[in-house]
Amino acid sequence: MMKRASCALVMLAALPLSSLAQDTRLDSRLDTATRAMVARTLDTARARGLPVEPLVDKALEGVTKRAAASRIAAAVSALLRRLETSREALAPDPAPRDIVAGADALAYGATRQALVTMRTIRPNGSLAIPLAVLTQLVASGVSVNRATRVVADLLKRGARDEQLIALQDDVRSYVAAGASPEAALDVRTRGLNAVLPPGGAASGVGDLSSPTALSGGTKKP
Amino acid sequence: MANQRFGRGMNPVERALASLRELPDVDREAVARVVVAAARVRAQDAEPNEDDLLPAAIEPARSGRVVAVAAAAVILLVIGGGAVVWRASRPYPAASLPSPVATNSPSIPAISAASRPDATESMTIPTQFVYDGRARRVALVGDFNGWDEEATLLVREPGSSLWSVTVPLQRGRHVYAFIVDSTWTTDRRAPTSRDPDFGVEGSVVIVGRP
Amino acid sequence: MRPPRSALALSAPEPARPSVDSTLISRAKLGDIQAFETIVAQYYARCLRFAHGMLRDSADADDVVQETFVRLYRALPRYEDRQRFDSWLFRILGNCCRTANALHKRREAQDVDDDRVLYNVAAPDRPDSAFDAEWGEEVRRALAGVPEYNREIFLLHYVEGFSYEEIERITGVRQSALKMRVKRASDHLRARLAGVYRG
Repeated sequence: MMKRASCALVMLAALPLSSLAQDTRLDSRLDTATRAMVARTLDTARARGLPVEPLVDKALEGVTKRAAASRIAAAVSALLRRLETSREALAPDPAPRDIVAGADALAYGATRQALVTMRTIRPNGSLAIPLAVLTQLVASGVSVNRATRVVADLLKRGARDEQLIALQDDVRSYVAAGASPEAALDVRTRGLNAVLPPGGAASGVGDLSSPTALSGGTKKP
Repeated sequence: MANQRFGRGMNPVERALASLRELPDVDREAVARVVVAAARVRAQDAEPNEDDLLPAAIEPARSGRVVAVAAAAVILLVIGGGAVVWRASRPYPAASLPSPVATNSPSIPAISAASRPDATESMTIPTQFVYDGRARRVALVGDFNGWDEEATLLVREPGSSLWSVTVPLQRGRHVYAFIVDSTWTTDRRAPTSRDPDFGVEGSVVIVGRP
Repeated sequence: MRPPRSALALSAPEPARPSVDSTLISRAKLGDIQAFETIVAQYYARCLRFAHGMLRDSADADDVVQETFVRLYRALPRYEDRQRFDSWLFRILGNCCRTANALHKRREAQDVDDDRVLYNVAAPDRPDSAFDAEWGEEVRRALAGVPEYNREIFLLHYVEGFSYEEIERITGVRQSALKMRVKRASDHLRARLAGVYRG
């Protein structure tokens, strides 16, 4: 029995992944039509060497949030495009976690150029945290342009990831206490700049806000 | 017919048990499908469901933990060899067990597990989530557990209204929410953001280096 | 025939089979897929049996068992042998069954007719056995009428052979509560089945 099961295993393993049963989590949570649409997107991602798990998660997120099937399929497709843009912008060979962080930032309105610039400033090492902080600053109400410039400047001056996280935490606290997001960011950036070594100014960063390429998401108003 | 099979004198529940205890035939293809699905999930670096782990997984070291640590060391060696990798959260050496942390800022990593700088890119960081309130059931959903309402349940601190769970998270930004007695609830101690895809407000944690 | 006075006066459950070889588990933890396949083959039938008893729609049994083993495999590197392997397996299986039931209930919410749903249970295919299909149908219908939280404990104890101590570890429910749940399940089955075939 073990031999036959092993043979079956070999045969099944030889099939292309797209021919196998889809992720079992999707099987039980999506209707047939949506599952088919999402499966096609997953196949595309695999073929292009993009991370698949975030796409599965996006579909599951939509289910848990009781989104319409068409919206789920559209969100998964949009994420695929953002993942592709992110990977290209963060080249060469970004880690999956960075690709996902870049796609996240794009969803909130960051531009492709902003990602390219981050990679230029920090050519080695992960950008997951700087991109995460950028995303959350924008989600908190800071304009895309301002948030991008600030994070890029801080990166250029050698801010560590923990310092960026602390900055974001403080901005949130001040906003919760009634300050405007921009004012809160200005105050805390001054405080952080005071402890960082002097570095290049924003002029070397380029126009980070121009949507020179697909951003892949809705801009924050 | 049932009387002939089960004999007189057997009460109906006994007869029912005899029926229920019979093992079904196993489809060999089904076994093969299971194995293929499991291997594929492992290759995708899927994290385990916290709910599938033993309740007392985070405990002072016992003899079994030496085996777990040794197994993890072997896993890391296998990673170096380029074999199939599962990006495991590290087992907890006794000396670096997390103590409950204040949850005013859940983005603060809850543990400072020792790690070489070059290992931090792939490691996960145990992160504690705390909900304060009266409830019958509190679940955690987020981009780290497939938004599965059954995957990660919080445990209530006896004699209090505090519920908590610790989850291994990769570095970066994560969005989550609590499902409190079937109601979507954001974490009032955490920043929030409205997701651009579905328009639902969730809570955010940014997990940094340990 | 009068039913026995004590609902707990049932034949002792067959003891749960010994846990799987620990070297197999160790190898599976390290990614040995063949070792994992052996574990799956060893437990599949028991898991399927339990799933058939637990699920609102027995057609989901294979999917649920597959999901269980996938989740177990993901969590396997964190498994420690201080707990019996089959206890841990059935803990995950129980979770998966409850999830599947909850999903099924949601899907049926628009046009639910509880009685009809309860009867939507299928006996597993057993072409080569002397299984009494009609009796089996009755048993499964009766079992489907037992509330899920009682049904699970009943199956774990009387069908899968776990001790109350093991079930307490599997489910987190205290032993005193477990015995009451088993009694209620037994009472329900007796009441439903007593009129079907007289002893």
